[in-house]
Parts: sequence; C-alpha cells; structure tokens
Amino acid sequence: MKKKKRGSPGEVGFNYTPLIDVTFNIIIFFILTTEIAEANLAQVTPPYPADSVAHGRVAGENHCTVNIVVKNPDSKDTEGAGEAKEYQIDGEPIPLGDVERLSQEFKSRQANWQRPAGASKDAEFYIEVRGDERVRYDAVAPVLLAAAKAQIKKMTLTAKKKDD
Amino acid sequence: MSEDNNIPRLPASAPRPAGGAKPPGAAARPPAEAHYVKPRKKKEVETTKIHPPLLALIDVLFTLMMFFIIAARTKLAEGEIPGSLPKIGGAAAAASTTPQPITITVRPIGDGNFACQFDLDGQALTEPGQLYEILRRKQAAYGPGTADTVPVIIRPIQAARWKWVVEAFNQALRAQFKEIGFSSAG
Repeated sequence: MKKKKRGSPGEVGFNYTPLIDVTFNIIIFFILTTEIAEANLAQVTPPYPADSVAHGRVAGENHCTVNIVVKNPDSKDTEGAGEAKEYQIDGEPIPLGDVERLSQEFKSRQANWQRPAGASKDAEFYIEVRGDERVRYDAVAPVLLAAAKAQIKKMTLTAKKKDD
Repeated sequence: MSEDNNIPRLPASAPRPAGGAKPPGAAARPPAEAHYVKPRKKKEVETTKIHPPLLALIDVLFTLMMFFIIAARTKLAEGEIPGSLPKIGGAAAAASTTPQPITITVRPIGDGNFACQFDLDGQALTEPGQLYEILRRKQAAYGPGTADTVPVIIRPIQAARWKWVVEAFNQALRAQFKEIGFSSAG
C-alpha cells in the first residue's frame, strides 16, 4: 500500500498586518494631536491665569511674536530664576531694553504686512507678547513701549488656555 | 500492482442504469462483472499567491512616524489674550479723563518675589478670584454702556513677575472691561 505523503512543514512567517495597523494608528494620532514646531516660538513658560480667557493662537503674518526668554528656562522658582536673557523675534535675538530696535522691527514688519483682500477694516497688525511667566515686568515694559512708539494699537498676551 | 486492471469495464455505449433501479436481469450478473468507475480527479488549478512588498510599506510608515515624532510638538496649550495698547502717554492721559480709571497695582511679595498682591481701592488682594469679584461689581455698578469706556490701568511694580501682570489683565478682561492698559513700571 502506498504510504501517504506527509505535508511539508508549515512556513513560519511574521504577521505584518497588526504591526501595520498599529503603526497607522500611531501616525494618525500624531497627525491629529501635534502641530509642526513653529520657528518663531522660543522656549518659554507662559503664565497660566485663573479662569484664563486666552483663546487659540492665531496663525498668520498679521502679527509679530516677541518672545521674552529667561536665562535658565529649566530652572524652578528660585531666586534669580526669572532673570530675562533677551527678546527673540523669529529666532533673532534682540538685547533687553533695546526699545529703538524693537520699534524699528515692529515698524518694518507692519509696513511689510499687507491687509488681505476682503479682510475687514478691523483686521490690523498687532504684536503678541510671549513672555516667560517668571520674568520681571521691567523686562516686558520696553516691548510695550516700543509697540506704542511704532503706533501699533493692538496686542495680545500669550497665556495658557483654560482646561476644557 | 493495481487491481483495477482486472475489473471488466462496460463499453462506453452500453446503457447505464438510471437512478437506483436495477436493470432487468441485473441480479443474474455475477458480482465480478460489476463495473467500477474511478472517481475523476479534480484538476488542480494553480493559484498564485500575491505577496505585496510589505517591508517597503513598513519602512515608509516608520519613517513617517519618526518624522512626526521628531518634527512635531504636542499641541500648544497656550493661547492669546487680546488687548489694546495705549498711545504714548496713554496711561497719564487716561488718568485725566472721566470716568476715573481703575488702577490695579501689582506688588510682588515674599521670597524671590514669586508671590504677589493686587492693590485696588486700598485693598490688598492676594487671590485672583477676589480681584475678579471686585472688578465685576464695579463693572456692574457702572452699567454696560459706561463700563466699556472705563479704563483699567495695571500698574506693576518693576520686580513683579509677568505671570501676575497677566493675571491682573486676565481678570480685568474676564470682568468684561474693554479699555485695559499698562502704566510704566512703578
């Protein structure tokens, strides 16, 4: 009698399908919950006021973000932790207290900004003061003064949003 | 050796019994003449399995994932508090207008000036909630028409931390004042 041939041993393979599923899920998660790092945002810890009225950041060219960074961004609340280092506009450092340079910077950016066609008359150029919560007010005051000198009427302060 | 060769076969033209009925005279046949039909083997159709190049796909997916992990940061939890800037000398100018402006002095206290108090109408407030309550009452007392024109001037002491200045600004805005400005550091 003919002997029945045994089947060849099953191939051992790696099941890629769950791996691809998981990877896709991770990619979708990152796409939804992240945003590309903005070059003009320095490492700053913004204030978190009680019942913050801050709303979402506005993207666009109609404003100039002034970052006020501290010397030791990772330091805790200890003496000297809030010592301001410099201003930064689009990554470019500006020395502390240089009102003239800040004012020139605001003026040139305002001049370069063109009101988009169809925008309301209220649409105007403004500055965003993005200061570290630990800096002293005397480091921020020159920014406000420079903005006033550049005849900019509108400004926003960066703060953490209220938890939803 | 196969036994099949010894079994006699009916010619192809021979009538075959229909259904289960035995043809007449079938019982008379010897069992050796029973015919046997070998079951037909099904033709095996060769199926070619398609294997897409998954490894390349996985490579691309991982590259995408690495890009998002490195080049992205978690959604910013920060937003903007809208305000307006006074003209040069605005704070002084506002002080001479009627109605009288509300002045909030932000005064640092404690070691390293990390705490603060808000001075308003001679009261020293340490909680933002207290500041909000007083501002809200004032706003209600002015009425909706006038309250929009009442300037709120935040006057921080030089050493005051920015977080407390923003706190005062936020509470004034929360109390629905519209004209909020800063005076130069005291």
